[in-house]
Amino acid sequence: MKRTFCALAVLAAGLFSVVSANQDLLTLQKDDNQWAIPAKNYSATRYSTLKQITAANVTKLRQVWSFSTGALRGHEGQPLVVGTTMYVHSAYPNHVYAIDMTKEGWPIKWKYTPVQNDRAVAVACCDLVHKGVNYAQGRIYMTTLDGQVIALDANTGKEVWKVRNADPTRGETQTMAGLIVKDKYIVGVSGGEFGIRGWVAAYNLADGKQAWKAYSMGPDSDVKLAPDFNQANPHYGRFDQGTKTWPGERWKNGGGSTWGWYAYDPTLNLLYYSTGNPGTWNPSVRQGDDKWSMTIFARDPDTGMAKWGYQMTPWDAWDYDGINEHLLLDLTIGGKPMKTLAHFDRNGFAYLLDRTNGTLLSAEKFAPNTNWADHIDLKTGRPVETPGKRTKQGVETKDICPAAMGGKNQQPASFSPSTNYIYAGINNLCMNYEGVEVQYIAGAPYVGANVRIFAGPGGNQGEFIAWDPVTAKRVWGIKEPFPVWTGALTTAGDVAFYGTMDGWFKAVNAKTGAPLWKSKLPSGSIANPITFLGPDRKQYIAIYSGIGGWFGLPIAGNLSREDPLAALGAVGAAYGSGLDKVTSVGGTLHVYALE
Amino acid sequence: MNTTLKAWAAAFAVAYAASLATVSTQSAAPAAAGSLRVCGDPDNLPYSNDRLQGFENRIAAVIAADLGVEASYTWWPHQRGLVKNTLDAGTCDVLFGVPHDLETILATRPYYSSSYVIAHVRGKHAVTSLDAPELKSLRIGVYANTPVEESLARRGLLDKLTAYSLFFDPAGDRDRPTKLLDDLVAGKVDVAMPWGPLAGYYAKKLNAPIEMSALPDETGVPLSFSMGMGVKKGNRDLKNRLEAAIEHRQKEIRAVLDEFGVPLAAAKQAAVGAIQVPPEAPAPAPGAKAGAQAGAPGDANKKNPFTDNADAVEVGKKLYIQVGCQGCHGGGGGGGMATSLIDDAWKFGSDDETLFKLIKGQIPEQTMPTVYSSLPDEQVWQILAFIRTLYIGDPTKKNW
Repeated sequence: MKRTFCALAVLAAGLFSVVSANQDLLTLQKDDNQWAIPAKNYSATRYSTLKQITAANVTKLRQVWSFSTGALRGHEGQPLVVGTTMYVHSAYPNHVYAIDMTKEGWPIKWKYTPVQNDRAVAVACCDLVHKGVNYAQGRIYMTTLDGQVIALDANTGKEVWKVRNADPTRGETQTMAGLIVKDKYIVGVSGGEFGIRGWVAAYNLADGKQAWKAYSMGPDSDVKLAPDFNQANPHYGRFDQGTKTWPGERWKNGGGSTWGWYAYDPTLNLLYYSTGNPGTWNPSVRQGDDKWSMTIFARDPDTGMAKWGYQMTPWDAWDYDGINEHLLLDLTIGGKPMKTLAHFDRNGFAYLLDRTNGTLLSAEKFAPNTNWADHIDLKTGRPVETPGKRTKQGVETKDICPAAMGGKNQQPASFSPSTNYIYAGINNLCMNYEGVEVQYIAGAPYVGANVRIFAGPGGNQGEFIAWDPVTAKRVWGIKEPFPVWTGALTTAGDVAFYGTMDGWFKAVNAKTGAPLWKSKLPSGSIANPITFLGPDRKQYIAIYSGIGGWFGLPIAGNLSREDPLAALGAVGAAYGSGLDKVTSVGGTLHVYALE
Repeated sequence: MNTTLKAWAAAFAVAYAASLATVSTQSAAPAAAGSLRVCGDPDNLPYSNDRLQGFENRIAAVIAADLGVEASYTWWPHQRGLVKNTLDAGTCDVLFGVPHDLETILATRPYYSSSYVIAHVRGKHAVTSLDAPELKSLRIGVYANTPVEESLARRGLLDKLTAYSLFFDPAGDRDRPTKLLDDLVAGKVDVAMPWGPLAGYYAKKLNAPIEMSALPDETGVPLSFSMGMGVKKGNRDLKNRLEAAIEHRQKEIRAVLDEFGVPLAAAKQAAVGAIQVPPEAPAPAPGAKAGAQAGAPGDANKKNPFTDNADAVEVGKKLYIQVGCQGCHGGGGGGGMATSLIDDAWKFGSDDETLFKLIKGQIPEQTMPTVYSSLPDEQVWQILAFIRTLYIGDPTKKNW
């Protein structure tokens, strides 16, 4: 009897903390004065109801504060604003600063730099980027390039706990922000170019203990498939696919890294994320679907069990690394209200799914010139490939669009409920691709392809577009000379913000796409703009500059221009576009307000 | 100061000062008549401090006495920029406690060898080997970027690790380098794996209740190192006099090491005479062999037997892709995740032996993955032969 009582008491205490952690973040993300989680809210819309700044007055926007992060590699991600404190992060070595916005000049409350194994630097695929930190209940939660997961006291910057999630000596690194759901911090892993077997793992906020870990491929018990997995769509594949769709034991080095953005639906209690490219880019050695690489997963965040999984690019032959973000949108489709998930994939298609069960609603080309597949068969969920565009070992397959960098890279889109459009920076890049034989050696690169990347038809390498998710059609587009690798921000002022690799931060009319304002940054931007209300009740807009990422690596890493295959094809693409003539390295946070 | 750190610091210093490599050997400042000018670390016990309390201060005094002079000091932290700002700048003439095979300086034969150790508090967690099964349930403290991290990674123990910083940060943002052993004594970690002399000092000089066992070298992961004194490249006269003094004063040096509790290891086989000969040196170092010596570890001046051999270049090109080099260094060698191989910027040196060692994972401070240690020597040379064909840098800088 006594034992039962104790067990119940423990259970009750556990439930209480679950509820309160959840409640804290749910409340914070609804407050548009703050920007408390990386994507603004669990639905990942990057939309704010603030409207001091509008399409009518945005021309009066001026930089009012700036701050050097102390790092000069590519700056992805965004700061957080919680209360009157801003939490700023940097590229490797992953500095974190707490900025006190109540004092003149916004001084530094504390600074934290993790002790890291510098061998991680040599195995980080595509620049030493980081997508930002998380906040919950008085703590900052972060990942480090070298595989640590760390909790800090948000008031002092002191370490509360740290644990290891990934091992850089095996090519595993971390660049993702992760997401806090209830009492857990959910993180993933990078390293799809090193033959890792990807996973997501949940760590208890209280003590850093691992609560669950779910692999991207392997036996169902490792992938953590619920008994009703894909019940609604059995043709997506249900059980034993994580091993049987691979030749032999190739799933053991199957890739499927999880370095992108995560979203969460509190009502359905489902976590959404997707997995990356299968291990070795050479498709000839892994004939089969290679499940569950390139897959959008919906998991129960309490247990890690997967409710559904939809593979976008079976037997990938192009490095269409499927990790891009998911926007959880409640839309009216055919007169019927639906809980949907919108995803702009690297493979050039914009997918809309029923997020309750994974049913595919539409899949249309958002990237101009996408030619590897004709269309996605909505019945089977599978792409209908174009003959002659599937790559193989020993042959240079030419003029494939999009390039491996994708129709769109990781930079997250925004959805405005005011216009009902999705806004996204996209690429117009094509490639030649040749699979080459590579042996798996633990901790050594396992790329297995030579890639040449160049501008697609039209010559411009990028575009910023508005997309109607209901009609699955583009509304307007603004051509940019370089790929657009900043995230988008939309506000109730009907302004859409984005930045460019040549260092412009721009505001456009969210309805029409008409350019309204721009400001020159000291370095190109690949980061995500945010907005918040300062202690002075003024609306601010913030964005990092700092060129880098895969495309910008030739600049960030100071690579010479002679080898177009270098940096997995980025040297040819970046120098081919003249990126070195328009920007240089940086690492600065810029804050704007109306003058 | 830990061996690895020193090697690291010195190697980086020289990378920055690469242009100084062509300075004439005759320009080294002559030692002042009345003193042995030591480049000392002002605050780095148990090795050295500006109150002369470290064992290297004591050994410097012994050596100076043998030379019939006194030791005088230029203080410079033994971190990044060390060689450039001390030996190369001519402000002092000798560094104590440098890895005997450090190529950025001219090193004497070793005067002691030690190893990384596994240390525990007396009576608790008495683990003496990295393969002890109980390690799986213990909290392990190590210094970040030291070779023991690699050994633990190979055993899947990384999640047990707490990494400490070796760097003393005057701004106070980071912990003092001694925190690892403080935490061991305080029970915050169960076992610690520091460089032996640091643990020995704690046990012997500070009477901390800790016990330790030496860690043996592992394939591809050296855990013991031999330490010599370093002089500026070309200063062979001082090197010879220091080596004579080491010979004369063996007993006294040993007594100082014992007093500080330095756990001694066997000297590395290749220690004596295995010094990289600077190109401008008038005579080869004792023991150095000329010509191709592919495959014999420890040989000085290894040369690639396959340079410009068309067949080997062809094989090397295939291997470059097959074993994965291409993934980080680029399809045409232009770099990416890793540095470019086609220009004349080389982090650790451009000579055959340095690049051979890098691929083999034998340079303690390298960041390149140390996963190719079992690649046959012949294949390493074939890959290097291919890499040499990619070079488009300044032709006068070719030293292969």
